[in-house]
Order: sequence, then structure tokens, then C-alpha cells
Amino acid sequence: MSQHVASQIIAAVETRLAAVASVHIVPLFAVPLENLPAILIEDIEDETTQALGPGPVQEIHRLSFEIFGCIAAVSGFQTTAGTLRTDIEKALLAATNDVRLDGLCRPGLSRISAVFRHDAESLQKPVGGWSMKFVCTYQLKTDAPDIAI
Amino acid sequence: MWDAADLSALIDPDLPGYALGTKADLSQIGGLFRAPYAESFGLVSGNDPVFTCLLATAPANGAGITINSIAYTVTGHKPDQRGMVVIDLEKQ
Repeated sequence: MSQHVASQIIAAVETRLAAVASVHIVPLFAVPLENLPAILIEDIEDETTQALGPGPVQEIHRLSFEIFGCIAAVSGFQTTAGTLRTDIEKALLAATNDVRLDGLCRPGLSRISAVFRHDAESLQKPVGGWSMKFVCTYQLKTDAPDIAI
Repeated sequence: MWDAADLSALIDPDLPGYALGTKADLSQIGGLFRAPYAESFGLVSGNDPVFTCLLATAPANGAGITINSIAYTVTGHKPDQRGMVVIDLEKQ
């Protein structure tokens, strides 16, 4: 069974980020504190922004997701979090092939916002980091949702 | 206010979670150690360690304390106004 283009995009993002830190799609399961630093992908949303008929309809989709570079550190928190953010952005945005995920999306990924999230009270160590929202646009035909066009 | 007998009963060594904490000056204090499950952001799981002990001998905020061979820093005090205090711990 072939994967939907949206799933292929998420998988391609995971593959590129795996070189930086372990990647988790959450919140299927909470990530143990001991496994940090980790990259968490959440709030995946796929919106059909345009549909062009007739026949098997050609659709334009906008896929968005949050990438949370999460660390646990007692000291040097801001610096460590900033380094992880830099590594994530380099892995996804440094080269055209990365931005376009080898042709899965056009014009490609962009990071449209970033928020610094921090919690120093709930767990054994302060946890948090930069949470970045990425968006990309891809196209498919409704009779072949596993093929990006 | 609890009297000395009350306080010693409240942190009796037979109680679950009883542990000896070693402060930076190497003095030891008895208390009840708890580390219940906790989450941050709904994404990261771990525990939230606290130590209940006598206020008079509790380590200050920012001081170190070792419990069950794990070194912690005190990050908060929650006194009960009766001579006991719950101290928040952060793993070093």
C-alpha cells in the first residue's frame, strides 16, 4: 500500500531530522525525559486550498506541522536550545533538495514562525526549546493521492 | 504548630518513601521522598520529585541535596506553616 503524499512528506522530514536527534511523532506517546534532546513533530494539518476539475481532480494542498526541538538542561538552556534550532533549520532549509524534499513539494518548505517554549516546574529538569511551524505546498490528483505532481 | 513528637511521627522511617537526604555540608536529614509521574506540554514524560522534611533543617533554595544517590538542587519551598516543608527538587 502506497503512502499518501502528506505521509511521504512527513517521513522525508523525519529522515532529514534523524541526523540531528531522535524524532518522534507526538502525542501518540509522551517522550521520556531521559530521551531528550529530541525532535517532536506535532499539530500536523493538511488543508486542500484549491481543487481544479474536471476528471480526476487536481488539488493543491497546504501541509503544516510544528517541529519542537526539545531539550532538558539545568544550565546553558538557551544556548543548547538555540543550537538545536539551528541544526533543525539547516537539515530542512539549507539546500534546494532539502527544501523541496526531493520533489515532493513545491515551492517547498518554509518556516513561518517560531516560539520558545519553556517549563521549569513540572519535571526533574527544565525542559523546552524552540517550536517552529513549517508549511509546504504540494499537488496531487485525486485518483492517485500517493503521487506528487 | 506540630511539636517535636508530632514532627518525628510524620517522617517516621517506617513510612513509605522515607529517605535520608545529604546536604552540602554532609549533614543528613530524614524526610519523605516522592517522585510522581508528571508531564510537560503533554509531550514529555518524567517525574516531579519533592522531599517533605522539617522546615528547621531543610536546605535553602538553590542548595544541593543528595537523595537515594541522586544529586538534586532545591528549586522551591512549600512550608505548611506547622513546621514541615515540601521542597521541590531539580535533578543536577
